[in-house]
Amino acid sequence: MGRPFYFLEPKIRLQMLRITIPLVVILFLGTSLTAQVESRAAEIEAARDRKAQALEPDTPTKTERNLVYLRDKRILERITAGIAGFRLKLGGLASGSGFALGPEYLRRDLWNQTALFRGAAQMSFRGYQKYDVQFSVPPVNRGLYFLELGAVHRNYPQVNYYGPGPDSRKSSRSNFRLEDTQWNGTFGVRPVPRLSLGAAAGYLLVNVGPGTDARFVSAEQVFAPAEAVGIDRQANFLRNGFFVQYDYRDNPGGPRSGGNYFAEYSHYSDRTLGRHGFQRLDLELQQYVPFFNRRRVLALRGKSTLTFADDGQQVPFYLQPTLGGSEDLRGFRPFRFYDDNLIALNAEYRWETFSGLDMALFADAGKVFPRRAQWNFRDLEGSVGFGLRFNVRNAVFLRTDVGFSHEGFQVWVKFNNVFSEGPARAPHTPSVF
Amino acid sequence: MGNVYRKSKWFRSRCKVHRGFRPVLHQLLASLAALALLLGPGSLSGRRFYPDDPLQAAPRPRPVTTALSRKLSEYYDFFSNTFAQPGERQAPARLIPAQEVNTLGEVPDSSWYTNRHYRNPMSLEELARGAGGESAPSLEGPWTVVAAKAEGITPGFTIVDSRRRRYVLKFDPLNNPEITTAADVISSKFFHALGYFVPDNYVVEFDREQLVLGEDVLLRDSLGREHPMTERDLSEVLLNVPRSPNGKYRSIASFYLTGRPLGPFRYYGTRRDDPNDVVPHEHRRDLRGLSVFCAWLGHDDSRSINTLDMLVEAEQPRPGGVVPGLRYIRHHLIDFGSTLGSASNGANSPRSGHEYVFAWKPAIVQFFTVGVLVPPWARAKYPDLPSVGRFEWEKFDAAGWVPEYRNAAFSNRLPDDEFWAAKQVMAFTDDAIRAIVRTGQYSNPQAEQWIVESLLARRDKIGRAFLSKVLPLDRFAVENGRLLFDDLGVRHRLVSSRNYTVQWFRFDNESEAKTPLDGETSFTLPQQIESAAAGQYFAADIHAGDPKKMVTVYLRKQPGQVEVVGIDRAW
Repeated sequence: MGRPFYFLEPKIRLQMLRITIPLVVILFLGTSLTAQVESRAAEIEAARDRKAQALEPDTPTKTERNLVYLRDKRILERITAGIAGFRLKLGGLASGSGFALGPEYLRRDLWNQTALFRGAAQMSFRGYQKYDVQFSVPPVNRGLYFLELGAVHRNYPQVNYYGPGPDSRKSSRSNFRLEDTQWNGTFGVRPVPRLSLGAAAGYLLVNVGPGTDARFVSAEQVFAPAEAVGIDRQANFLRNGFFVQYDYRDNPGGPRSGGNYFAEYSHYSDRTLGRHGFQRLDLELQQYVPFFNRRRVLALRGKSTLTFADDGQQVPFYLQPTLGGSEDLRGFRPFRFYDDNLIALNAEYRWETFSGLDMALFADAGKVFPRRAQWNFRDLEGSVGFGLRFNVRNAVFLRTDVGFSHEGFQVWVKFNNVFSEGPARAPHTPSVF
Repeated sequence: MGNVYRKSKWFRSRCKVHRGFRPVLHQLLASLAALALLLGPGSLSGRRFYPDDPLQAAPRPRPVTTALSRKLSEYYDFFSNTFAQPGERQAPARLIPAQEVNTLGEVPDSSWYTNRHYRNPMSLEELARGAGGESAPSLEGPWTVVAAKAEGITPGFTIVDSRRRRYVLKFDPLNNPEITTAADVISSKFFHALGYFVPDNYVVEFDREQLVLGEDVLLRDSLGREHPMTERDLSEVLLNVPRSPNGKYRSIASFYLTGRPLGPFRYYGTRRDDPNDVVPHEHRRDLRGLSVFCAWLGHDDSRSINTLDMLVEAEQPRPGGVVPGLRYIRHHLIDFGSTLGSASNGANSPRSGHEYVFAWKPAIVQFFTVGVLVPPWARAKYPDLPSVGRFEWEKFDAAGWVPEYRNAAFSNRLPDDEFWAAKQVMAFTDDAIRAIVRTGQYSNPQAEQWIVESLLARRDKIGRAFLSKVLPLDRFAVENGRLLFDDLGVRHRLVSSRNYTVQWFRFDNESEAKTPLDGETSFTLPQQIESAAAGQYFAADIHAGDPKKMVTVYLRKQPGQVEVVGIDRAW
């Protein structure tokens, strides 16, 4: 590597100057003697002369050419879309499953692009597995009806369980394997824009087994069937119900104003044991209050799940509402609380730091409770925290949250919005990944 | 100490100081090469003014034979401008004046720019006509769709009308009817009047039956795969564009530019295959001043990708010595859909024009202040007019306006560049602005009124911001033995009146030395000028209160007359 001229030895500098100065003088005199100009136009022509002698193709740099190629050939879009319908799908498993990925086959072009088929197989680094297929006719192009048929098999070997009720202790952490298979069918209409009405039916097979997380005891070793109802024997369920959703968010991918309200009623009929039939009602209200030209948003969410056990029957613990994790109580571990009912409140203050990043301060509160008479705002667990929402084209593609509670702190990295899109049984657009 | 530019800015090349650890030999060779350029004939001639100064038009372009079409990457443009500083930039200790200007500080007519409304005020009809005004697509026959629009974010087609004329059709977003089409048409008229080469745009309305699909038209899907375009494809595009109350589709029809497209130009450097492109773009006054025009019209999408170089063959003589048959590169601004509050695919972000898409400082400030520090633009109030989007004047900061991301030419602008642009903006009367906005054909009179009011108020803010940075004296002339000028500050009522002081000098065109003419302190030409021989030069330093702001006017005695030959501004 050479050194700048002024860092050279004085002797070397002197030698170089002896060569350079005469060269400059010759250049100076030569140029002036041969190219004296007498007009402004001639001056410009002289500059053009010099340029004309050094013309070369105006080729962009290799980096730029590669970027042009990437864009023209839609390489990123193709990677996202996959090859021949196959692509990589990231995330999408339960909270606490760890980083998950797997192949997905997606076709959006069926029936002249009015129908969609997808199938995916995913596994996480903690051994969680999910296999699902879906056929749907989404309500695109001002469509009035939507239809979805799907099947899912999940095998989650390390689902947390701390025991029933709001008073379960952190130290009681155990784990179990949740393995289920479900077939679902949904049909719905959109009589007016933003309003969706639908009915869903399906069949659910459940198996619960010993957890594989060696750090914690397996749930069946510490929780008797009286505490964890159904831990000894699992049932299969016929499930049917209906839902209604009114969604007037300005931009579902990254809402800054509007609201999303939905309710879903489901009846779980125990088809094998006749002990765990129940009804379940999920309510959720989301409101996005923008201010300062939508550069600040107050995102509010209230949700509640209530269950109604059939006469003489009990809700099994593996179908109980749960609280804790990346989408409700973010300062607690996933599935921290189980019980027959829950209520959760979330408030996020979001502000734009620049076009591709919003930040958030949030506060979560919620509780699970055994009796519906306890539906109130007393004795709520709480957590607070902050997060980042990375977005592209006004849609959040990556979210990180850090939640704090009296049980410590949790860090979440998710590929989705914090609040859900709609009823669990309503069709939703598959994730980009 | 103010900045004074007294040299001709024509094509002054510079030797960049190499500060890196380069091999000595390379350093020396680079220095020698740079010296060769620096010591070009212009600087050696030793005279300030040439007989043909001030040049009103650049010399006839050299013929261009080998220029190739190439694409530039918008991502590269964004990242290179956001995280690096391409081109030669201003430094506090070494300000670089604009080049490609004549000795009066005006931009001569060239393949980049044509003096229009400011030099010779255009009639309202001429302003509304824009770059053409007589080539709207004919509705007498079908429009044949010959290609699907591949660039940009709005849907569109290329059509050929029954007279075999080719157009690009572009549409409005579904939720903001008229926003893009109106903005595109209006802004193209303004930029034309301001002197730039732009497409000839029209608002058109048509029925579905007007469109027929041509043969072998290929459509690229979202994955870049091409397949034959079908009638269904055509209908699906139209499904996602708004319809006028009369059921017709509204679009902009942009008349194809003549010539062969060569791709965009950059706002820095030069085209290496164009012998006429000798001034780094970041130093062109017409590009530096463009930032002021873009601020006025809310053109935050003023980036490389929205420009286009065309290899044209002159069909008729044009200013600048262009003769029929000459092939040269003409530089255009295109695609004004993201102006006047539009983002082409909807209303623009309220951040637009106030902050870059990304900049470290505001991002860090917002990051650490949890958003409590609300930028003023976030408090702007916008009308509930879908066809307007986010365009207003209350929070508009003329001097602080920025495009979507950094632009070398815009960043390099100096107060005299701003003055050059601001005086042109101020030259648009209320009626002129109304006439041009009317060409947007807003169906809602409130929308038209809002745009007009915004442009009027933004114009005045531009005047206040930039005409006050220098002593805004312009249009110098000598009549009846007096030096006359127009004080744009007074003309535009930015100040009520001013007291001027003037000092006359004899000016040596060779040495550039100024010798005071004692006792000459009025605008009546000194007797020494009247009695001077032809070819003698004189100068007048004019102040008006602020000692930093000065205009120096250079006069040349000619047989029977005295002409204004140069202007320097200090601030």
